[in-house]
Amino acid sequence: MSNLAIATQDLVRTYRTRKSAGNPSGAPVVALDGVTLDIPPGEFFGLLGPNGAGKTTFIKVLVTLLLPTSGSARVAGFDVVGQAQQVRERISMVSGGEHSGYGLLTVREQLWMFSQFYGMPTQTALARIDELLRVVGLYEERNRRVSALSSGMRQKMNMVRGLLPDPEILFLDEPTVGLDVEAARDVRAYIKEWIHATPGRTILLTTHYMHEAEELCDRVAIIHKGRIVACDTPAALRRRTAGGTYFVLTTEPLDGTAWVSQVPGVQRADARASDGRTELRLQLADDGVIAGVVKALADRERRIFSLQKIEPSLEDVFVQIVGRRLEEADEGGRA
Amino acid sequence: MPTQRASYPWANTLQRGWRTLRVGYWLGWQIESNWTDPLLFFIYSIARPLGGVLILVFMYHVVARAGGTAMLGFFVVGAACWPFVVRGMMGTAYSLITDREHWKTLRYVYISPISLRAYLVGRALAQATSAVAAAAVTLIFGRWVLGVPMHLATINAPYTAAAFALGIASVIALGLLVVSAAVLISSEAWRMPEGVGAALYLVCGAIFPVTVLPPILQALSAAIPLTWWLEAMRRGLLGPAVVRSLPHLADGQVLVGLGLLTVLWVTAALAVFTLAERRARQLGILDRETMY
Repeated sequence: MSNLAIATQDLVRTYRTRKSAGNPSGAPVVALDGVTLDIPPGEFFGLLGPNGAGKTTFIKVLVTLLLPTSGSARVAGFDVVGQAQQVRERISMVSGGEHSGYGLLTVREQLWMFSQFYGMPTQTALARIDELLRVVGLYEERNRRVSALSSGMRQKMNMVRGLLPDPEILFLDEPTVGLDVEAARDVRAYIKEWIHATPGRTILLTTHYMHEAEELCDRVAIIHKGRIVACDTPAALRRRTAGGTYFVLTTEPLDGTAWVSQVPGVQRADARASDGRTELRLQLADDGVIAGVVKALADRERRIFSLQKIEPSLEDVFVQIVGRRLEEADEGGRA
Repeated sequence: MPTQRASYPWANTLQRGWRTLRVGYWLGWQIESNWTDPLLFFIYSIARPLGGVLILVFMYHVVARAGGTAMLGFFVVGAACWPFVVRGMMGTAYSLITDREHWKTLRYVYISPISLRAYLVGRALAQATSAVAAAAVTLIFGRWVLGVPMHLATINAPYTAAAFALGIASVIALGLLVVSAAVLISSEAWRMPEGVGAALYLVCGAIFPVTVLPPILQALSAAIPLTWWLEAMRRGLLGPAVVRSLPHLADGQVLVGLGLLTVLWVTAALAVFTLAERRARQLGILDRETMY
């Protein structure tokens, strides 16, 4: 038996389609194209990709909603095809951008009902529901009907539903989609709080918000057209980016900049003049080299107005790997 | 990583099934009874079956007078039992369709560690419970207002109770078969349960004996447990004073036939539902929202 929380091997999922203007041949659409991924217990793993990349399909296979076309997937050590019931006892899922919930029930009733699906004793369940509702700031709404909740409130309620059974593995499928900034921040804050409070739990988060993946995840995989095209920690992915970390230094106008390249450790220097100032973009062998540059400027009696260290973002990583910005890839996926 | 659970998997399965059925029933009843305020719900629960039975009384007086009180009894018991079919069978199908399309909860229900069959049966039983008032009102109205010959002395209570239990089981089996189709079709899913209900109303002897149907429909009717159920309920409640759909069979034979057909249909329904569920997972349409 595997000790991994999630393990997939050459996972393929295709969808049959009818002939249409967009797909005149009626050829099957490949949503997952040989995905192999290992996620150990306790990891907060992010799956980053544009719309249509295969993120939701991947989660649907793992949570037993969808059968794979070929390949294998194990969750908590159990096969998602042949041992679906065992998988379901150990997982939970929260999806964003939807309005699920029995509108005729109150928040507390709805959550109690789901707790019963997981076999929780009623008293334990109600105590936990109240506790979680307090944490997400929904306690005052506990006796309101679900139909009367705003989108943000519903999403928080669904987050509570997902966490209620204290799952070994939690699947978060774009949990902050459609939420306003404040509600999204609350949801992220609570996810972080939960993972810290319950070490050993595994989270698989799909998102197309770069900052969300950077803020939350231990490791991130970039998925594009059903394939995992990169997988590492956010820091390691950033380091892979061509150009890597660089400094931007703004100073009084310089007559020439050839001398900057002579400073030991400076690998590349580009200068740009604007508003009567010179902006130097410096790529250095290591951070300590910047002291030599600053000293050289001081020797030339040039004042420094600003100094910034710029690290590449996951967005840069994505652009380098996929060749387009995420938003552009989204539009491509929708087209 | 897999953790050891119970030593008796079948005990776990039974426990899970019972737990799920109870919660499904609770949810079904909440949805059934909470759509309006209690007074309006009460009035609706009484007025709707009364309206139904009055329509039949008009039909009886205008069209079927020749049948006498035996035919009136046939009408009234059929009208009293049919809401169980409508609510129970259609309720099973609509539970899945509304969870998928309206409440958008099906995916969360499905991936929780429950028995989906038990959940749907629980929802169906809640719907069937809501038919009890309708049945009672219809029978009381039939007995005290229309003069249907139904007396405590002539009611065969054990026979009626056994027939009723088997009937509810067969109604739920039909519901599972309809839901098996509903899980695989999309845009027409809403219309299908109603269409099936109308077809059954025609061929199962709800308001007229199946002996008036063409032979091919009679054969079809005899293969459906609802025909036997309605016949058994009439015999149990009215004794010999009723027009019969299966005149060549004794009371005991009707009950045995109902029992056998129920077992057959329940087994078939469970198998078909399992296949349909797997097929829906293969196609990726289990939680696909289509039209609501």
